[in-house]
Amino acid sequence: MTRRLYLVSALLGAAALAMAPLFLKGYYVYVLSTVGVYTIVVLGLNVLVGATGQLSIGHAGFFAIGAYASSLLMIRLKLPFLVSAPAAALLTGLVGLLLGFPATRLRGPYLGIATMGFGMLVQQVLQEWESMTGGRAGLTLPTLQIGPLTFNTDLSKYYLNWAVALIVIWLIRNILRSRVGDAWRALRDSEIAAQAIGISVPRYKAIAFAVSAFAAGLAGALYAPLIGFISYESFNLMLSVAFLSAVILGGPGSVIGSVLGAAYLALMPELLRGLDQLQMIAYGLVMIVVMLFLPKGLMEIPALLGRILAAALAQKGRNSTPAGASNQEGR
Amino acid sequence: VFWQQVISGVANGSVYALLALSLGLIFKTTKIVNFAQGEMAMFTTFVAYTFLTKMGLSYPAAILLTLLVSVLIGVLVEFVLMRPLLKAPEFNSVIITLGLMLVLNSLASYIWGSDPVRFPSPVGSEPISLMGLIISRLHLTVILVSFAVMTALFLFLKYAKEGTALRAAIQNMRAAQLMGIKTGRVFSLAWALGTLIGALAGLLAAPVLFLDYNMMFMVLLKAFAAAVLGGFSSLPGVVVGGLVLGVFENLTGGYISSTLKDSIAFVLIIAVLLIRPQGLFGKVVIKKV
Repeated sequence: MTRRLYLVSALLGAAALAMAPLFLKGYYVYVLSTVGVYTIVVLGLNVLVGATGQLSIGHAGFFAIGAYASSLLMIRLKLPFLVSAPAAALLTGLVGLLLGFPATRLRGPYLGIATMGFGMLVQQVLQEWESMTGGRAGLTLPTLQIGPLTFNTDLSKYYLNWAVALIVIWLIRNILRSRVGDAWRALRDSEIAAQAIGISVPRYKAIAFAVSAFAAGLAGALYAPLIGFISYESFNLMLSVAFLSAVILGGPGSVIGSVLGAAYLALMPELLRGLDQLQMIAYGLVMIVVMLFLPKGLMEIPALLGRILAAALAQKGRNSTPAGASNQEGR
Repeated sequence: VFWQQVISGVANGSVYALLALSLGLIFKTTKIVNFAQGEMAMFTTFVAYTFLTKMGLSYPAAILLTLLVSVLIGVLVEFVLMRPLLKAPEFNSVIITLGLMLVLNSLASYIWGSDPVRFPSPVGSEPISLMGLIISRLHLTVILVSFAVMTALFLFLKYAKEGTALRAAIQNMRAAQLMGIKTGRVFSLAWALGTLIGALAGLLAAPVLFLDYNMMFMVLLKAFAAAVLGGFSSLPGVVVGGLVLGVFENLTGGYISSTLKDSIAFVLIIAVLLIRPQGLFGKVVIKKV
């Protein structure tokens, strides 16, 4: 995409997001707000899966750490959200870095197993550490306050969440286009080749883990006040797989795809209201079908349609212009 | 008390070993790590539950039918989902098994509800005493059945014609093809056997735990730990890994802290992958460029 086209589409997108609540009823503003939060997680996971080619089946764990850390800082230490959210995101990033170093030695399914174990461990700790996390009773969040502003309506949280989401989109897009992004793609395509040209594979994999965890932690910090209540039960293995499903659907490595994937995560429960199981079945089926037929995700559809259209036009062109055919004979 | 802890550890461990064996069998033959293995086992166990309680079949009939269903599921999954991906990157097949995991998990809670149910036990509840130890009949049954199944599997792989074909395909796919072994059939066989053994693991786990659509998550994680500990590529290693894990976590639960019990599997996975990624009995695979 050229720079100007990118700028125009980014501005249009931001304007559409700013205007959207004017046309939507309260509840849908809330739904759209969760799209913003999910976008941050899915984009962060996409850094790992799409750009770096690493698998994580434990992102619900990072999401949970961010949510609990920020909430506890607000409840126990009475810190303002403006401090607790970045602190929680940094803490989660650090956990990601710590997990990233051992994880750099693992490939493919083994990394999946290790991250799956990590996610389940986090949930276990949240469940057992009742004195801190409230166990099954969970934590109830105080009203969200930033300086003189109070975020107690769906609309105010919508603007807050999307403001953060847009910043994260911008940051991650820039990281993907920087030398770090190049290094990630290089090691994804061939670790050995990347090493041969002087890219430190462990270091860049660990950075990818840290960035990805940071985003998930930040999203968690936003998610807790949005919902108003958190309990360990919601941060389960199924959530980790659902996040992965959104990345796969949107297309690994695609920024816009991640936003679409997040929208799908947030809207599916609305479409299948009251049928939680069907919603999970849909997530699962999407993973299977996309992998079988559209390995590059939804973003492949326009290109695919374009190719089909081009092929059809070429076919039609050949049929309707005998002149062209005779020309070729003349040569 | 120590030996009693060890024996119930062996009972739990043999369930992990069975599931790990089914993971290992499929991984060795097809290079696919099946994240849906636990859910497939959970699903077939619910099928057995339906046969037993809703349709009133006798225990042997229900088990036999369930095993038949599990073989069908295994072959179907291999043929419909895995066969088309033979040449695709391993990443794709991992995603598909994860999708299958979601689908089966939710389908089970959709069909059978989300409340845990009591799976009928095949044996009475009064414990028996053996050489001064008091052992629950259920644990004893689990241990005996598991060892019978493992022995049968090893005999099958060693002596049956199909077992030999399977081992040949594991060793060298290309050479096996050249010898006239139909590798497609071998893949189906591996998935059928893997799902069958997994179904047995579910059936043995269900009377101990409650039958619940989330029952197998922890068991799957522990089976992974067992497989990683033993070395994915060594089937006897996987069995040893399962037994060691079962005993180890039971002793920790009994003597140190019961809250730590379930976390051991995770710590073990990380530790083994860091220190000895090929596992205790696995071989190092050298990647050629």
